[in-house]
Amino acid sequence: MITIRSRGALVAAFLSLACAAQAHTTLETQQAPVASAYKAVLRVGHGCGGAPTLKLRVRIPEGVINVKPMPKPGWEMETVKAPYGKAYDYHSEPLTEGVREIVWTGKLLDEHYDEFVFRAHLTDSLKPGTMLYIPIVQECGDGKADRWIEIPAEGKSADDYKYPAPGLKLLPAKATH
Amino acid sequence: MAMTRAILIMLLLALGSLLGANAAFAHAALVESHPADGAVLDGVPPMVRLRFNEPVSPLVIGLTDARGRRHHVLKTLARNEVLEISVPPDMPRGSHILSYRVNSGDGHPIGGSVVFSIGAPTETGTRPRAEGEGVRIPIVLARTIVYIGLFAGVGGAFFRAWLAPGLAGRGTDHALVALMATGFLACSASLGLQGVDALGGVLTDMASAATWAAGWATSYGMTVAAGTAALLLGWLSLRGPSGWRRVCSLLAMGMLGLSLSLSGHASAAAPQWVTRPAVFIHAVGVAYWIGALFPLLVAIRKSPEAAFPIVRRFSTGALVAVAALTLAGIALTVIQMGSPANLIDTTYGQVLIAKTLLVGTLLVLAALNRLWLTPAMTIPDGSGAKWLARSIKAEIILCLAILALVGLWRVTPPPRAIAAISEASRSASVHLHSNKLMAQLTLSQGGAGGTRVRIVIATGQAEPMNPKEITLHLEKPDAGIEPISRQARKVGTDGWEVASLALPVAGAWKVKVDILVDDFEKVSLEGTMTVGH
Repeated sequence: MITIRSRGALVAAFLSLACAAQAHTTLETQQAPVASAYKAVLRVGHGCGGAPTLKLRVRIPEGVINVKPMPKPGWEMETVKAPYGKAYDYHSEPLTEGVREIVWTGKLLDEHYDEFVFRAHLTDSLKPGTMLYIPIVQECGDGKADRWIEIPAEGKSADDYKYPAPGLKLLPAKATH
Repeated sequence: MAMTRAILIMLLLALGSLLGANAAFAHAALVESHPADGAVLDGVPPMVRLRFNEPVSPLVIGLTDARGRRHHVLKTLARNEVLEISVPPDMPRGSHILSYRVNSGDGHPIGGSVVFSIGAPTETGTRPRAEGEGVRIPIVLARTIVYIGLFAGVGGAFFRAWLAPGLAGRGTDHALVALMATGFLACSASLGLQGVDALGGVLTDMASAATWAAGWATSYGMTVAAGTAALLLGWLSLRGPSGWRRVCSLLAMGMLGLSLSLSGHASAAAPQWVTRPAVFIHAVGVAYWIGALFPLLVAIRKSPEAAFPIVRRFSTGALVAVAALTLAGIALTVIQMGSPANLIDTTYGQVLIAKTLLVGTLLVLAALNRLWLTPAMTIPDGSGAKWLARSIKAEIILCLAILALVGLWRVTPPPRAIAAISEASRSASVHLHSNKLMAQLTLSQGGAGGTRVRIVIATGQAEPMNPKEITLHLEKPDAGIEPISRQARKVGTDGWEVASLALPVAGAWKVKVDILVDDFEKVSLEGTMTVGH
C-alpha cells in the first residue's frame, strides 16, 4: 500500500513539475515587466467536466488599463466598462475608467483547444516581484461553470488549488530610453 | 529486484516528463458516479463506477464502511475514463465512503469521495448513536437475567457456604445451579447483543462473528468475563469440603463485584476511584442480601427451629451489608444525578425514584423481619415463622422488580452523561474566519437523513453578507478519506445548509468552506471540526 502510494506521489510530483502550465486555463506568457504593454493569450484546454464551453469571462484586475480584446471569428465579444479604483497616468493622460470585464460567447467543445487574446497596459502601480492574477470564469451549459478564480494565499502556490486563476509574474520596468 | 524496479520507475518518470512537457493535458474531474454521491440504496451495489472527463489511473482507492472499517484491497478496473471498483458483498447497513485519489493525464493527482448508504444513512455525529432500538428489549431482558443469576445464584452459593453450611438442601442447590446456568446463558447472549448495539446493527447480526468480537471489544466484554468466572466459581462452591466451598464462594463474590464495576454507566463516571469501589461494594452487598432470600425461605419452610440460628446469623451480616450498599448507592446517585431537578426530568431519574421506593419498602420489610419476625420465630405455634416466610416471599418479588428496573438503566443514560453529550453537541460547531469573511458551521442531527450542517456567513466586521454559492468540503486525511464535497443550499435569509450528510467516521475532520462572493471572487475558509459518536 505504502509503496504504491509513495510511487504514485512520486510520479505525480514529477509529472506535475513537467507540465503544470498545461493543467488549467492559463496564460501563454507568464511574466512581464510593469509599465509596459502586455499581450495576454488565454489558453483554454477543456470544457467544464466534459461539457462544451459556451462563455468565457475575464475580470481585469486593478492596475491593468487600456484593455483591447482581440475579436474572434465565431465568437461574440462584449466588454464591460467601469471606473478604475483610481486615475492612472497613461502617456501623460489620466485614465479613470475602462474595460473591467471581457465576455466571449460562442462554443468550444471539450475535446478542442482554443486561445483568447487581449492586449493591455500594465501600469507602474503594480509591484514587480509579485504575481498578477486574472480571474476567468468558464461557463458551460446546464449552469455548469469552471471558475479559474482561486488566488493562492500567502505561502501557497497555484499548484495547491484546483481552480487557480491564471497568473503572471511581474518584472521590474525596463529602463526607459 | 528493488533496485531494478527503482531504475525502471526513474526511466518511466523521465519519459513521462518528456511527454508531459509538450502535451497540453487537461485536468481530470469526476463527471459522474454510480451509485451517485449521497445515494441511498436498498442493497449492496456490486461495484462503484466512477466516470471522469479523461482517462485516469488509480493511485489510492479506499472504502470506509459504516462501522469505520477500512477496506484497502479493492478490485479496481480502469478502462479509459472509467474506474470500476468492486464492493465487498458483506457491507453493513449505513453510510460508506469511497475515497479515490487518481492521477490525471497531466499528472496532477486529484482526490475526492463518494458517499453512499445501504438501507439508510448512518446517523452521525453530535449525539451518540441511538442505542440499537431493535435490541433494546432483549438487552434489558438479558441484563435482568444476568443480575438474577449473579445475585441470587452466586449470592445463594455464598449463603450456602458461609451462613448455612450444615443445612441439608439438595433442592436448593439444584435451584441455585439452574439460576447460575440461566445467568451464564444470558451473560453470553448479552455479549452478542452488546455487539449489535455497539455496531448499531439488527438482531440478526448476532449470527456474525464480527458482532461478538465488537461486543467483546467494548468495556462490557470484561464484565462478561468476570461475570462468567463468578458464575463458574459459584457453581464449584456447591460441592466439595466446607473450606473449598467457602474459598470458591468468596472468590465468586469478588468476581461478581469486579464484573459489575468493570462497565456500566456508574463505573464510567468520574471520579473512578470512588465509583468503581462503590459499585463493587454495592454489588457484593446486594448479592449477600438477595442471595440469602431464596435459601432462607426454603429453610424456614422446612424447619423453623433449624433455620432460626441461620436467620440470626444472616440478620447480623445483613445489617452491615445493607448499610454498606446503601451508602455506596447514595454516593453513586449523587454523582450520577448532578442536580436534584434531573430526578424528575430524566428517564434515568424516574427509574431511580421507582427503584428508591421499592428499596425503601424492602428496607422496611427487612427491619420488620429483624426486629419482630425473627424473634417471633421462637413462638412455639410456628405462626412467627409463617409470617417471616411470607415477608421473605414479598422481599423476593420486590428484588426481582428492582433488578428489572436496574436492567432498564442500561438503556437510559444518566443525567451526568446527558450533560456531557449536550456539551459535545454544542461543541460540534466551528467558527472559521479570514480578515475578510467569517463562517459559523453547526452540525446537527437531521433525523433519518443523517447530519445537517448549517452555515452562516458574515463579513469580517460581522455584517451579514450574501454570497453566490457555498461549497463545503470535508476531509479526513488520517483515515484516508479524500474530500467529500457538497454544495450548500440557501435556507431562509442568511443561512445555508448541507442536508443529508453522512459521516460514518468520528473524530477530527478538516473542513473547508468555499464562498463564492461574486462571479470572480472566491474565499476559502479552513479549519477542523470534531465529529463524535
